[in-house]
Amino acid sequence: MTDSALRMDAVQKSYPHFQLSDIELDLPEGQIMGLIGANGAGKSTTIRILLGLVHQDQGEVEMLGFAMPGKQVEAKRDVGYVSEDMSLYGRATLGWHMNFVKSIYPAWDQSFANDLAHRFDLRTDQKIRGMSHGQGVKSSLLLSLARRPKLLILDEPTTGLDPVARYEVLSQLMDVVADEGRSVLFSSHNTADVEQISDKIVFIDRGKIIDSRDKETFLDNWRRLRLEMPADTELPELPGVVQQQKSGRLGTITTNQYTPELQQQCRESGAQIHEVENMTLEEIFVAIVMNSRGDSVS
Amino acid sequence: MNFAMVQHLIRKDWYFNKWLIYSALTLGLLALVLCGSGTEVGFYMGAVLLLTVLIGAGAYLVTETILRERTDKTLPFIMSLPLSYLEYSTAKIIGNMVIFLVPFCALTVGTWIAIAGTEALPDGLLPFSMLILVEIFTVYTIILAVAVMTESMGWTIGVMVAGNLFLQLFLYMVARLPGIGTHTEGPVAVWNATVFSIFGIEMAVIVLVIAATFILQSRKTDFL
Repeated sequence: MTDSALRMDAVQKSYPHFQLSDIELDLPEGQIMGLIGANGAGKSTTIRILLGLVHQDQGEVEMLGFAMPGKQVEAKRDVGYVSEDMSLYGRATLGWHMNFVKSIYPAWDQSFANDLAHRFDLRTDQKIRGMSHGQGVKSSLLLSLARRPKLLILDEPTTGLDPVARYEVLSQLMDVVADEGRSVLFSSHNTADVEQISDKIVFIDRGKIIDSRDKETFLDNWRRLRLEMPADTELPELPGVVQQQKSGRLGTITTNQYTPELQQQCRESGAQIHEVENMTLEEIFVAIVMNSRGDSVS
Repeated sequence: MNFAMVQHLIRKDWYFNKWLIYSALTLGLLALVLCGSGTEVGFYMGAVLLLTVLIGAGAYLVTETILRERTDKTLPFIMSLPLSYLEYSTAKIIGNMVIFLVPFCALTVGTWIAIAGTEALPDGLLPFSMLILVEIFTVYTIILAVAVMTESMGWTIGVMVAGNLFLQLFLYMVARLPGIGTHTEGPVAVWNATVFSIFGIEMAVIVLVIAATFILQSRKTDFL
C-alpha cells in the first residue's frame, strides 16, 4: 500500500466571510496532485492548513506522516514550499539565500543548486530586489528544489510569469516528477499548467471540493456533443448531463459520463451528431463550477 | 525548542541590521563627545542626540525585523522553514533585544565613562542618566512586545508615539524628584532608595512584558 504524502480528513476552517468545508485530500507518495480553483476558492487556505501555518477548526491533517500542526517542524524538514505571495529578502543576494537555506537543511545539494541557477539563468551575486518577478519565483523554486524535499508544495508558482519563464519552471517540475520518490501538490487557477504535470486533479470552489479524480478519468469521461435535432424535438436524455443548450434545431450537451454508446442513444432519439468534442481541463473545470453553483442545466 | 533554528534567525536579523548598529554606535559616540564638551549647548545637543539615536535605533529595528516581514511578504518564506511559531517569536524577541543591547550597552557604558571619567560633567548626573537610559530600554521592550504580538504597523507606531511622550514626561518627573533632582549637579553620585525603587519598577516592567509576550504568543494558532 502506498503511503500518503499528505492527507486531509473532514477539514474545516471558518473566517468571517469565508468557510472551508469538509476538505478531503489524499496524495499518494510519488504522485502529483493539481489543485484547481478560481481566485478566492480556498486553495491557499488549504495549503496553509496543510503546512501548519493556519490551524484548522476541525478535521485531521497529515503531511509526510506527521500530524499537523503539532508536528509541523518535523514535517517541514522534508517539504519545499513556493508561493506566489512569498518573497525573498530584497537586500540579500541569491547566493546569500542559498547559504542561509544550506545552513538549515543537511540534504542541501550544492551541485544541483548550481545546475538550477545555470538552467534558470540566475546570477547568485544578484540582489533579489534587482530581479524580475519571474526570476524571483525561479529563485524561490531553486531554494526549495535544491534541498531535495520529499514533498513539494507549489501555490500558484507560475502566476505572473512570462511564457518562457513558465516553460522553464514547468520543465524543471517535470524533472522532479520523473523522480518517483517525490510528491508534488500544485495549486493554480491556470489549468493548462496543472494539466501538463498532474496525475490527480482536485477542483475546489467556494471553500469546498467539488470533484476529485485522476486526470485521465476527467479527460476520458467528459465530452461535449454537438447535435442537430428534428424540429420540435427535445434533446435526448443522457447520463451525467452537466450542461445542455438548444437553439433552434442545434443543441449542445456536456456530459461527464461519456461512453461511445451514448452516440447510439443520440441517433436513436433522432439526433444527428455533428461533433463529439474532447474537453480541455479548463472547460471541464468551468462546467463543474457552473454546475456546482446551479447555473448550468437549462 | 530548536535553539539552532532560533540562532539562524537571529544571525539573519543581525546580518541585515548590523549597519544600523554601527551607525548608532558612531552617532552615539559623537553624542557623548558633545555631552563632555564642557559647554551647556554641547551637553544638551549631545543628550538629545544620544536619546534620539537609541530611540530611533529601537524603532527602526522593530520595524525592519518584525513589521516588514509581513509587509514585504518574507514571512511565508521563513515559516516554510522547519520551525514553529513559538520559535519564530522567540527569535524575534531575543534577537531584537540582543541586537539593540549592543549599542545600548556600549552607549550606557560610554555615558558612565563620560560622566565619571571627566571633569566636564558632575558625577551627580550618573543615577539620573542611568534611569533615563533604562527607561528607554523599558519603552523599547514594550514597543517590541506590541510589534511581535500585533504585527501591525498602526499599533506599533501608536505605541512608539505614546512611549516617546511618556519618556518626556518621565524625564520631567524624575528630574524633579527630591531624591534625584537635587543631586544631579553635585560632585557625588547618590544611589538612594528612590533611584533603586525606580530601577526595580523598570526591571519588573521589562520582565513582565517579555513574559506576557511569550505566554500570549504561545497561544496563537494562525501564523499567516
